[in-house]
Amino acid sequence: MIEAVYAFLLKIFTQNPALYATAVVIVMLVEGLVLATLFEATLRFLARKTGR
Amino acid sequence: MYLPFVGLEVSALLLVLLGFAVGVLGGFFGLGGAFMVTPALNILGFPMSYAIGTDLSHVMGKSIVATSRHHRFGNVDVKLGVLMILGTILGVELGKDTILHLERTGTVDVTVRLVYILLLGLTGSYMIYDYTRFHERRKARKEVRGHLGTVLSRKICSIQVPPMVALPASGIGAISIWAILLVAFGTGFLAGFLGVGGGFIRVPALIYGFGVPTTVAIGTDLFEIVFSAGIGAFLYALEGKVEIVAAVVMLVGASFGAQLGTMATRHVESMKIRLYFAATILSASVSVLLKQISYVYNIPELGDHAVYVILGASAVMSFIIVFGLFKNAIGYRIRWSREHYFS
Repeated sequence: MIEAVYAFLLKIFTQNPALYATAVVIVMLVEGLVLATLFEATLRFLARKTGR
Repeated sequence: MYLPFVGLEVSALLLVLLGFAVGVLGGFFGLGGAFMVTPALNILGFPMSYAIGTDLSHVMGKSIVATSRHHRFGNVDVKLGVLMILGTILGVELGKDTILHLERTGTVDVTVRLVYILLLGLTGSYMIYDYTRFHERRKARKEVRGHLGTVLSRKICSIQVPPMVALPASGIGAISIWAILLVAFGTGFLAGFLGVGGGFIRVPALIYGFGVPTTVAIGTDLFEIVFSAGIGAFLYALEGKVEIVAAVVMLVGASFGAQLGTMATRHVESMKIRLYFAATILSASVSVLLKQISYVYNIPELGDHAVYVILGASAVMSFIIVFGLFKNAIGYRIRWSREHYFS
């Protein structure tokens, strides 16, 4: 299943390098923001739980 | 885990750990960490161009995480960062052109390595000297002229060529925009010339050139790295030289490491951060020196050792930072418990 998805994406991206480049930047941007928000939320939760 | 673009089978845990280690260093020192990730990915079997492209992509994501946390701590001077980006872009272009010129003359490898060794060696040595001088003065209870008072930064800040700009986040009342652009151009030139992101050049330049506090220098540099790594990742991806699956997996570890590294800057005094920074860039300098010797005397094993020196030093430094952070956190918890339960 994963291999099929990989093969499909690989085909699309090798045909369109600009799309791949844009996808790379967007994926990194979104992942970075999501992880930063998650970490922040965890810290806030812990602070509320421990009262500090 | 299978990586479709490079066609390799690599352990996901290894990628997460690598990301974590470089994330800690990135958040703590304001570095992209290419000096560690690129050779490590290369060892795992990535062709060099893929190693660089993948590294740049994950560095962009990691720098977003680290910058957001540094921003919360008030460590990012956005105005200074934007001005630095402008100067850096021009400098990188000239550095790249110089490299192409040297390539035509056939002296590029030796020149780049020698500049690398000298620059890292001298910067690292000066930072250690600065630390020991600070330490001795503090021991002798003499007046400590803090990190804001270097001769160079006072001279640069005294340049009165308009337009002037105030940088309150960096504690600078007024500084000429031209001075900022000039320093950014210089650091950009070196980054383009050496083919690196330039964090290890920019952080000391901000500290000693403008007198920016260490933590603000780190946060501002990370802010700049978001853009420079983003552009680099885009350009490498256009050539199809980014293994996005590896970058996504590494970013999970790197973002966690970057948060810890950033938090550690709150618990370690700025002069100590400079000492650790100096130790890291000195080990990078030794690594390049070993590589140069291996080329000159044709000893390939020494080249391998050069890679292990930098990877080992980076791993040890990450451990020291995380250990220091947890030690401090546990100490704080014990003090807090004593104050609240036994007083």
